[in-house]
This record gives sequence, C-alpha cells and structure tokens, in this order.
Amino acid sequence: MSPLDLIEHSAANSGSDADRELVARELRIGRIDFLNMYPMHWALGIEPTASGVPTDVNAAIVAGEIDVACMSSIEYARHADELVLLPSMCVSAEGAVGSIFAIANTQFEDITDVWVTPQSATSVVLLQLLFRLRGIQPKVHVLDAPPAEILAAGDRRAVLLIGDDALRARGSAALAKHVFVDLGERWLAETGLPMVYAVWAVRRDAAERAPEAAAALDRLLVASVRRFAAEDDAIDQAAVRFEIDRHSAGTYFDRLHYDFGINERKGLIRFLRLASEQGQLETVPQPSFVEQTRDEDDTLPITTAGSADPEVVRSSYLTTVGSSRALDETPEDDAHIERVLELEALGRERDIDDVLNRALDGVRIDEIDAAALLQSDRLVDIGQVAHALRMERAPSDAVTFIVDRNINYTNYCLTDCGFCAFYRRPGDVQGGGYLHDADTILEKIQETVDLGGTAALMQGGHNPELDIEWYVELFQTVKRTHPTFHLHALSPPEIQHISRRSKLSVPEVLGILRDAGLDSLPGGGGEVLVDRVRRVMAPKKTKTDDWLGIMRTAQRMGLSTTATMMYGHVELLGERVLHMQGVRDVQDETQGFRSFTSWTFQPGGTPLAKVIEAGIAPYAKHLPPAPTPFTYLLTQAVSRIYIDNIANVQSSWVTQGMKVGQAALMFGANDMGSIMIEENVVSSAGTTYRASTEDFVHAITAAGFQPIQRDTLYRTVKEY
Amino acid sequence: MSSPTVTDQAATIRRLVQDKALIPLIEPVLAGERLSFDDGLTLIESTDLLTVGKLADLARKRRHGDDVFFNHNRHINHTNICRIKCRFCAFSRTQETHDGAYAFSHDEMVEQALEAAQLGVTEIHVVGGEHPDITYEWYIELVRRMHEAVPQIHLKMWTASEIRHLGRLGGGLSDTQVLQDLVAAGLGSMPGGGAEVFSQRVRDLVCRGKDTAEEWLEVHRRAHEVGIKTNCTMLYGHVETLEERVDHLVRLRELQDESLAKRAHHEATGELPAINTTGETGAFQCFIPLAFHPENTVFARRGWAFTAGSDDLRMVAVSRLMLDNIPNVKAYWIMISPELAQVALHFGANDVDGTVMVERIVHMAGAKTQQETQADTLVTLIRGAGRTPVERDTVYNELRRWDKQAPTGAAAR
Repeated sequence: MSPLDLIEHSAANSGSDADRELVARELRIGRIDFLNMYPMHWALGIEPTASGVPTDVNAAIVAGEIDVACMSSIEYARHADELVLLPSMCVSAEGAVGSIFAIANTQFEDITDVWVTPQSATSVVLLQLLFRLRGIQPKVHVLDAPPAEILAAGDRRAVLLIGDDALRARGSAALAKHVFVDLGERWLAETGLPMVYAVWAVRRDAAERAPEAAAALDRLLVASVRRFAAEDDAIDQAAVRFEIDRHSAGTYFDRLHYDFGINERKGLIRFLRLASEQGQLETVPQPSFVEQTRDEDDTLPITTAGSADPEVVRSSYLTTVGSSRALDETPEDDAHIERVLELEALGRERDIDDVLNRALDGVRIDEIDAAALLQSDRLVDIGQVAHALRMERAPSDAVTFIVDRNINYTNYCLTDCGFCAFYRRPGDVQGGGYLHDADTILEKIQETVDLGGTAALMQGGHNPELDIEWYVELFQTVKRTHPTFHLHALSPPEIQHISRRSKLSVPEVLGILRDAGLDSLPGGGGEVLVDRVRRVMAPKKTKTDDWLGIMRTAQRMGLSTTATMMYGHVELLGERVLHMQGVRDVQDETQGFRSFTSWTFQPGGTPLAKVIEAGIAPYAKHLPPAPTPFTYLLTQAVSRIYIDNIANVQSSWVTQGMKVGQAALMFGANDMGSIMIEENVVSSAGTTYRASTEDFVHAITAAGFQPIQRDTLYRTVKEY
Repeated sequence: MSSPTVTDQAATIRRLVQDKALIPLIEPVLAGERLSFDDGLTLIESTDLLTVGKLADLARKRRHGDDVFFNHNRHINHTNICRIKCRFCAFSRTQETHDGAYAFSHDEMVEQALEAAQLGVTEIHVVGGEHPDITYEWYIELVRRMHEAVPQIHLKMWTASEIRHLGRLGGGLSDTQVLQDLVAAGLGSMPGGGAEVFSQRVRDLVCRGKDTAEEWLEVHRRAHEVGIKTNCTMLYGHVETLEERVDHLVRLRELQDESLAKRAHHEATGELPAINTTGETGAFQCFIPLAFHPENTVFARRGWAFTAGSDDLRMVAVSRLMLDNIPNVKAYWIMISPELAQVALHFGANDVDGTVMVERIVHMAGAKTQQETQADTLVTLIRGAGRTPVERDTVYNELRRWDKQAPTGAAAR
C-alpha cells in the first residue's frame, strides 16, 4: 500500500465539495506515490484511478487510461501535443532540492562516466543538460551495482541518485567522502531559474470535454497545498507516512514550491529548450493551459507551501512563540508608538547639515538627530562624518579582525524566538537537536588554536538540561588545557537562563562563571532593545532592562562586553534609535562595551518572516520598508555618530556579503569582525558567506587600511 | 530644509576631506570643470573613497537629479567559438569540436528573440565569440531576420572587435561598410564590450590577438559618424595599473569630444558626416565599468581575488568624474552584486542595467548573482537608495516612472 493511501480524506478535505464532485465525475486522476506529491493530494479528497512510480503514471496518461496527473516535465514535453497544463500547480524548487544528487568521486567538471536509474526521466535529462552547460559529455550507464562500489571501481565517476535513495545516501558513511552535487542547486546557478520537476497535465480530449472540471481540479489542488502549508501537523503526517524524520521532511518541503508562477514557467521553458538542443526532444513544445476560473471569494495570495492565509500564519506564529498576545496592538503600545512616530516626525524637521556639523564639532547628538539621520537619503555625507568620527575615536589606519570560532554548543532552546532558524525544542533529536559534549568543544577549540585563533564565541540555546555546574566544568576544563584562550561566552539571555535554572542571582552566576574562566560577554540577544518589539519577536526572551542590567552588572564586575543590534523586522525606525539610546546610556555609566555591531534581520523562512510577509505584524503600516544594503550602511554610520562613547564599530560581512561588508569600512566601522571558523546560527537562515584570513587581508588592504589580527580585547596579535 | 549652496557644499567637503590631495579638486568639480589626467590619478589613488564618492555624487546629481535608470533586456550570446584566446575569458572555446562549444542558428536566435518579446523585453543584447567559419552574410542576415521577427525590440549587437571581425569575414570590408550594412539590416545600437583596458601592455598580457585600442576607438568613431549610438566599457581588476585605468577613461573622453563636436556641427548647420546613413549623429550613451571575475580563468589559479567593494565603488566614482561628456554611468549589478550596485548609486552611478535574462559570458566565470531578477527587485533597490526608478529604452527614452517612495508598511515588503 502506498503511504498516500493513508490520507484521512474526510478530516482534511479542503476546497469546495461541488468542485470535488465535478472532478470525481468527469476526470480520471493519476497519482505518483512520492513524497513531493503529498501536499497536492493531502486534502484533495479524490481517489486516483491509477497510482505508482513516475514511469507508470506517465505511461497511463499517455495511453489514455487516465485523464489527468502530475507527471514528470520531460515526459509531458514528449507528448505535449496531446496534453494541456493546469495553470496553478507544478512541483518545483528554486535551488537545492535535497533529493536529487550526482555523487562523484571527482569535481563535477571532471566526470567522465555516470550511472543513472531510468526511474526519473527528468533528473537524467537534467543531469545531462548540466553536463553540457559545463562543456562535458560523460558516458551514461544504467545503475547496476551499489553506488559506493561503482565509485570505488574507477576514477572520475558519478552516480545519480534520486528520492529516498538520495536521502539515504546523504547520511551514508560509505559515500561521505564523495562530492554531492545537488542538481537543483546547479540548475539555479546555471540558469538563475527554478527547476520544474513535474507539471499537472490533462489529456487534451478530456480538457475539451470537461473544461470546468479541469479548472475545478486546479482550484482543489491549490486549496490542498494551502491547507497543507497551514496545518501544524501536516508535515508530521507526511513524515510518519514516508518513514522519515520530521526535520528532514520539513526541510524537504521548505525547498519545494507548488505555485506555477512566471519564474517557474520560464524555468520549464528553459529546461525544455535545452533538452531540445541536446536532442532529448524533437521540438520545444509551447505549453497550453487550461483556462483558470477562480472563485470570487478566493482572493488569498497564491499557493506556495511557504506562504499562507494571514489568519493561519497568525495562529501558527502565536503557537510557535508561545504567547497569545504577541501580535496584539494594545492601548499602552498605542501610546508608545505615538511617541516613536513623534520622534520620527521631529527628526524629519531637523536640518541634516546642522546635525552633522554638531557631531563633527564634538557635540553629542540627541535622539531626534539620530532619527533625522536614519530618515535621510544622504548616505555619503553621513558616511563621511561617521568615518571622520571613527578616525577620531579609533585613531588608526588599521582595520582589525579576529580569528575565532563560533561554538554554538547546543541548539536546544525553550525560548522560541520567532526570528530564529537555529533552535530545536528540547528533546527534538530527530529534528537535528544537539548538545556538544566537552570533548567536542575542546576539539573545536584545539582546531581554532591550530588555525591561529585566539578565542571562541560560545553561545547556545536556553537548554533546560544545563545548569551552572555544566558551564563551570566546561570552562575549567578549557582553561586547564588552554589557559590563555579567551572565552567570549554567554549572552545576557543565557546568563538569565542559567540564573533561573540554578536559582542563583545574576551577580552570583557571573561571579562563579568568571572564576571558572569566563573572560567576556557577547552582546547577542539584544535584537532591538524595546520591550514592545521584544514582545512581538520573542515574547519569552529577556526584556530590555534585564538585558542592559545584566551587561551593567557584568561590566561592573570587570567582565568586558559587546553590544549588537539586529533590526529590520517588526520595529519602527524610531525604535532603532531607542535601542541605540539604551546602549549609549549604559555605556555612559560603565564604559564596559568594547564594540557595537549592527546587522539586518535575515528572514530565511523564519516564523517572524512569515508574519512580516503576511502583513500582520503589529503597527505594520508604520514599519519602514525591508532593509537594503543602503539601510545597512546608513544605520551603521548613524550608530557610529550617535553612540559616541563606544570605540569600535564592527561591520557585518556575514550578513551583508564581502563587498558591502568591506565598503562598510568607509561608513564608520574600524573592525571586520571574525573570519568565523564556524557560524551556525546565521547560516541556518540562509546566509552562507564564508571568508578566510586572505580574503580579509585583501579586503582591508583594498580599502586602504592596514590589516591587523586582534584578540577579543583588541590587542594586536599579528600585523599584515 | 534648504538645499546647501555651492559654497556651503565646498566648505562641507573641505571639512570632511581625509585626503588633502583632493582639496584642489573640490572647486573644479563643483563648477563642472574638466579634470585632467593627473586629477584622475589623484582621485583613483586616493584612499578617501567617500570624498571621491561625494564629488561623483554631486556630478551625477547635476545631470540626473534623483532618477536612476534600468531596462528590461535580454542577452544572447550567439556562439562561444572564438578565434581569440583572451586570458580573462572563461566563455570561449577555440574549436567547434571542443566540449561545450555551441553556435546558434538563425532560427534558434529568432526563436529566442520571440521568446524575449513575449516576456516584454525592450532590448536584446547580442555578442559572442569571433567564430572563424561564419560568413559576413550570415551576420547581416541574422540582424535582418531578428529585426523582422521582433521589430519592436531594439537590437544592440556586436562589439567593436566583432565589427572588425565582420569586415575581415567580408573580404576586407571597411568599418564604415560593415556598420552601414548592419544599420540597413535593422541594428539599433552597439554595446561597449571588448574595450578591456586600452593600454597595449595590458592587451599583450591578457588578450593578445585582439584588436588594439586605436582599432576599438576607430570602430566607435565610425559608428558615431554613421549615426549609431554606442556604449563603452573598461574591464578592470586584473593586470592594469591605476594610471592605465585613467588613461583608458581619458581616451574615451577624447573620442566622445570628437563625436559630440560632430553632433553639435550637425545641429548648427544641418551637415552630417559623409558616411552617415541615419540622419542623426551617434555618441557614447553610457560607460560601464566591468569588474573582472577571475574564476575559471588562468588568473584564478594564480590566486587572484575578486575586486573589493571599495574598488568597484571607486571605479564608478572616478568614471563619473572623468567622463564629464558621457551622460550615464552604469553600476552593472551582474558583475558587482545587486547589493553593491545599490550602494554605487551614491557613488556616481545612475543606471543599474536591466533585468538581463541570459548572460553566459560572465556566468561561466562564476558571477554568483542570480541571472534573472524581476523589475520589481530593481525598483526596490533603487527606491531603497532614496532614488526614483525610471525604466528606459536602450537609447535612454523614459518608458515608465515609479514614485520615489515605496509604499510604507508591510505592503512594501
């Protein structure tokens, strides 16, 4: 029995029953029993006439045994004269698809022989096109032995694996040493387009005989996918049916798209055109489509598995972050927002030149001034002033960077921040949850030392299993082996978590950890230090006063710290000013912040991104547009000007890319941050920039500065 | 808020300047005076990127206000088979039999043109390898057939180097003859590729066998006389020195002076150059600094790095300041990333190129930006920089204008 046969139709049907009756009466449907088809059939509520592997279903529709099915793109193309397409649905992925790999014992360009299974016609053709685009023509063989054996038996070989075989191969130790090329990723890199793997095709005779039924089926499929995206346990069900872990299933569906949009259409045409060039098709078909007739009330935005009904997004978000009021607008907040808007309005009245001249004269600018600058479009002028002040406050032709490692020691977390793509709920081992043991951490530290690194930035989730003893033991162990290695660890929310977990006061926690070897505190978890904003994005997380209070305490105890801002999500522009104000005020008291770093929110499919996209963030109409590189450079420059009491400003190449991260050195930054031997948190949200010491030296030199490797406390380690 | 006067601006810039060598250039730039070769060198050697950028931004603003152009275009590279082996090129194959070698037929080119037309493209940009076995007639016929198929689309085709190649294929035809034949067949304008860096020293190193600077300039001179508008480029970031970059800009500026003088003469007297067949005089419309991409070229093996962001911004700024007679300077997002292209709008650029549907040449050298972006991405970038998005056609006629301000709130996301 196919996993798809187990769908509980009655419970999950969506779309109109009239449509369902019409389709069931008029059309014989085929179904491929693969996981990627699941969302379209999940709430369809119609029994297929035929089902099986792609080759079966493709053959059935061509033979006229069924009228309609989601079939592989290349098979559709071979019979396009007899088929028309449903306009709304296809199966596509823009980039990595995670289940179609060429596994090679050489670089892709050097492959001379490849083994394939004929099971998925589209993947085989796709692989051949990708070879051709790289100018190679490996010989194609039928897969007749285990992949590992084939790869071991000769050089410059590859094996094409799809579906479950591919998913299993990913975790196979026997194949771990080989190169895995994701064909979807490769296709995107070559063409800039999504790859359409399958399309819904209707036999032309059936479409002409029953056009309303075809249109109705199109609507039902849209409804099913939308429902699938909206239901919390849909992916769980898929995971159970197909016997894979939930995390893998979630990742898989994140990558798949079902909306047959303009880009997908271009991707399909591009694929067919290249296939035809390659001789796989006699002609390039001009797809024709079933006419679309949408319900009047069906005005929800489109159908990708990623976006959904705002109401569904809302309830799902509230569940995720664990607060029923996270998206509310309250009377207290109304008053706060009014003050923020007033601040912004006053800013717009200010003369920018006057603000900049005062700053240059060494007069501290106020919050209205900062609001003025953040709303200005005079990027270069503001950059110049920021740079001039940088040369005053960090008077050196050097730009520093640090070689250290991010060690995210655990991703188990109780706090459920809406913007986090990194954490797993405690116990979610299946989903990829982990806790590094001391040996693993020591190994990472040893590697860091071997690479010339001087410190580790250790941050992790709020893991209920970890009490203060765990940290004390860890820090002591590290210090025994590496007494001078700098432990830059535990942001204020983690300190607060340990204090609650171990029933100790914050000063007690900090004192114990300092004595165990903690050297300084990172400024993580600051996000935007405005409680209204924090209640939306991370209702269970440390509030503003606590965050600043923990920093103040740490600083008074002689632990130095850093400050950060992550903006561009659900905060108003003026609330960025309030954040900077909070940091500057504490710094006036303590002088304990070494540096300030700001970066833009990396949406990457996080729950908060869905809220923003759906337009249901509180006070959405007052939010500034999503940040661009311009916003980033301007904000960094304004932070340099306004926060006049922190010596170092760090650019964020990790989130902005090397080019903008380097240009940021002209906009008030004097530090490029870390080469990041490991960066898990940001890369989970899709930012995957990597750099080496060489890249840093090149970038800094090109900007006209002297590169200096520093330690955490900004002491010179090495001059270049 | 009143806008600052020129004197205020000079005072502000003087106050903020980090590199004192730039001070003597402030007044001339604000007054719109021409900068010398030495001035250019001062600018390009300065590490005070923001002051250079500020000056370039003022020069840009004087000409274009807040407008930033983009267009809806498509690139087609008709073949990658090429008689030359430029060392910076990851695209070419020297033999038809080489792996991955391809050459589109007329039918295939027309088909792609028709596809582009369906997508609402206003320009098709065609360049390719210098295929030794294609005939002169083939090229002319290609232009004719594409023009017939999509008369509404502007055909921007062939670099100067290819024009020379066509002349040779035609049995020694003059540039003039080739250009006139192409215009008669439906050519709209010419792209600016193939200029590389004019210095012969550099050309010997990176593209031996390609035509000389003088030859490149001569083709554009004749094109302008025939009445063809053209673009110009420089491929920077490899073996060239800063002096050679400035020299390149000055040489472009000199030719533009000539062409604009001919245009002025025509406007004053109605007289056209003898070889003109279009009734109007051509000139450079746009300069495009092209950042070198070392991946998949011999230089990658030598450990060459990509140009740094500051270098890309510097090139945009210095180009704007030196090329006082070329109206548009483009931040070509495919080469320098969309992110940096946005920043470049504050360093003298007023154009971000187009939606660029296929760009095989750069792509084979590893340009990582997505090849196809929607117009709305460009609109968002331009607005995000505080500028007004304007869709243009190839010859810079305005087609559509957006509000400068994005809609506020969630709708903008």
